[in-house]
Amino acid sequence: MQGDFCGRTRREFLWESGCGFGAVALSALLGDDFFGSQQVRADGVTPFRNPLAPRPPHFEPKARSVIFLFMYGGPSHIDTFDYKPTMYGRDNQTVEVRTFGRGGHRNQGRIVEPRWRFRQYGECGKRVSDLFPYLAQRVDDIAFLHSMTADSPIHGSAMLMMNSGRILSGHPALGSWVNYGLGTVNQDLPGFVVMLDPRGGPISGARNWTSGYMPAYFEGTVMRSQGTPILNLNRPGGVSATSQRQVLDALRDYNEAHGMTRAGNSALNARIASYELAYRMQSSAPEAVDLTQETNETRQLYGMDEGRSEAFGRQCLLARRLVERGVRCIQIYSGGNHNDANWDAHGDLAHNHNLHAGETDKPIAGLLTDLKRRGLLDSTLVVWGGEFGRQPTAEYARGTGRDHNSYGFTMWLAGGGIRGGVSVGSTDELGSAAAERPFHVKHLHATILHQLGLDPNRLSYFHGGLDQKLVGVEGAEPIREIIA
Amino acid sequence: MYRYLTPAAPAIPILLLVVVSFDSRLQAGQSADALAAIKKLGGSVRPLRDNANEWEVEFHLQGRALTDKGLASVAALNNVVSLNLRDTKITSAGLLHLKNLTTLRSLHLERTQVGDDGITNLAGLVNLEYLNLYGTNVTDKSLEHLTRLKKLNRLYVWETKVTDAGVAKLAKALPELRIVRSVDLAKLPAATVKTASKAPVPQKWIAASDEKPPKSKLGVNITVIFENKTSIPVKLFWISYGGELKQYGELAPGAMRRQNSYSQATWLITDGNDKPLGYFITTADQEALAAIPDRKK
Repeated sequence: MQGDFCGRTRREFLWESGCGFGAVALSALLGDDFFGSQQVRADGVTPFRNPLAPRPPHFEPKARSVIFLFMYGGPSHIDTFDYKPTMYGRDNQTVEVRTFGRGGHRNQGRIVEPRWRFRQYGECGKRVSDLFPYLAQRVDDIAFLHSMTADSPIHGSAMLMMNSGRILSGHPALGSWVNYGLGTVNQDLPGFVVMLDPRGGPISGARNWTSGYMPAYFEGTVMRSQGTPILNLNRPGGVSATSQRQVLDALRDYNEAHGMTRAGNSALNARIASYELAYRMQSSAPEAVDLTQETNETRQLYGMDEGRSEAFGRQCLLARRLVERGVRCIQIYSGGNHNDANWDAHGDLAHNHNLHAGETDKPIAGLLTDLKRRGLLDSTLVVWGGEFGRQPTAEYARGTGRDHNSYGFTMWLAGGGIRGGVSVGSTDELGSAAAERPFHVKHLHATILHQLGLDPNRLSYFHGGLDQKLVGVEGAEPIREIIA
Repeated sequence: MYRYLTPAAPAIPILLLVVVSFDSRLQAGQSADALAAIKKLGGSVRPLRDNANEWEVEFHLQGRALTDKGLASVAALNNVVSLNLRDTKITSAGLLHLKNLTTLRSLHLERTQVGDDGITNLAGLVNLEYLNLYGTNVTDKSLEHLTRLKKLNRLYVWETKVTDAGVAKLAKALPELRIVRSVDLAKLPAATVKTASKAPVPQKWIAASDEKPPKSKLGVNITVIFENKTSIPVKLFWISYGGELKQYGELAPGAMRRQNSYSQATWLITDGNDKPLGYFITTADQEALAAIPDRKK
């Protein structure tokens, strides 16, 4: 018994007393009004306390939802949005340049000249490569960050960093932080949805959308792009709604009885919450994902009439429908699996990027256009980018493949109170490393949280003896230059 | 066993504090009847942010069965700043209830049956900043009722009977307003090259003295063209909104550089040893020419 309370430390007990039981007492004091809509049991009386009930943000939010378009594998910035005029005509020249990729550290390399021409677009005159003829027409709504840096040039750790702020696994993803901070306004759909490339998921799979040390109900829910978006949601044949509700109530009684003596057992709470959410989703999810409600014009706008952009277009359209229904965070992956099934252009650069840009250009342009004309872009933050960029030089003695580059790369944001038509920061003349105004992934995360009305340096979760934050315990400031 | 009870004691005052602050939020003077009625209709009433007496009312998720009658409950609330009625069954008649909601900053009426008769009721909502009317029955007549809404900066009228002429007229009355209709990708020019419509504005050089240069203030996005007319390399520092110095590289003698910046920004110029030479406070609205003069002249 000495110093040990059911396997917990004194500190943990104190923490749980303050937050776990405290919350129960609060809900009793306040009635259920404050906690928003809640599921009611079959007896019509006992409410279920939803851990994802909406919470007010720290300050007035610009954005209500985030759509993160994740270009898995690492798109080449100098072939897409970071114009490097002096590189043209220098193909195959050897230059002294420090690089660090999967091939390790190098001090010189052979230039691979950008394989696409850049043109100016919009009122801002932003130069965009011919990889994105449709998206380029939306530059006046986009803020480009040309001086992004990350801690790792290796996919697995870099993915974790872009998703959770750390190169090690076990930390909650951005979507988990957002739902932890704000809850969800739609109790009938998950607050954090992930859509994967039909070719497969990214490296480390679910660790990229895990809730880490947070309760498991903040974890991302995967929706499929083809066939039934959510598996195993339909009621089995021969089971009525009433009997299903009774089974769930009985299960919850057992689970809650079990949980009474195990305060703060997040896995158990998550299980109860997910049963309830699945029950509600049986009626709401099919409506949300029913794209037949959309006009042909809208489907074409997202490129769904073309084979190559059909899948990503469908996911982007689905994302808009989820935003309309109050889903907080949606992440869509372009690219998955291995090698050229994602943006990881180690072999033939032109083949790889033509493929992935071709699949995503029209859908992303369509998404921005559709959000805008519906008045949703003001409150929806769209983020584009990969886990890192690519090197200016060739990886091998022959060919055009580029190795990974976390010293400098481009990401962009649009909508959700972001100033359009601006470019901040730069890389050196080769695009090998950030030069002016270098940003870290945590600055991007801080900007996203800030636009959602959350103070990135205040949104914390106590774990392991520290007030953990998405932006790290040291904190980070949002990028003010791109905030409208 | 007492051992295990004592640690819980300090948690009690914390709990009480939380209750007090939550309680004050609930006592924001909102009518309990109205709150109950809205909840019954599937609507939600939430504070806009922490500890604020500003409220967001929504029916577009679970409350789409809302009809005109239900809007009376919304009118009974105080300090409603945001109201979302998308996809509800309201009509023009219901908007009469919104007539005195002058605290409204954001109003969603898209995909409802409201038309010109209803929009007349919005003419006095002088704090309105965002109005979404896409997919409604409004025509140019509605736009005429909006000319007094000086704070309006976003208006959505896609899929309505609004015409070019009506939009042009409103745009003239409210030059700050952004009116979004449709965006037809096929009609957009493939590439429009930007041409600077104005010559760069020369910036005033303020030589270094004992007085400290001011912090930057937020302004509009501009380009500053720095030109080093001295015979020594100089360093460029932006003085941030918080007053910290951020270096933006060096400029060789005679060199020029285009730099993304904002108006009302302070740019401090030093020599190679960080000794201040002087500074600029940018004033242009597009391009600024900041020539660093040679001290000897």
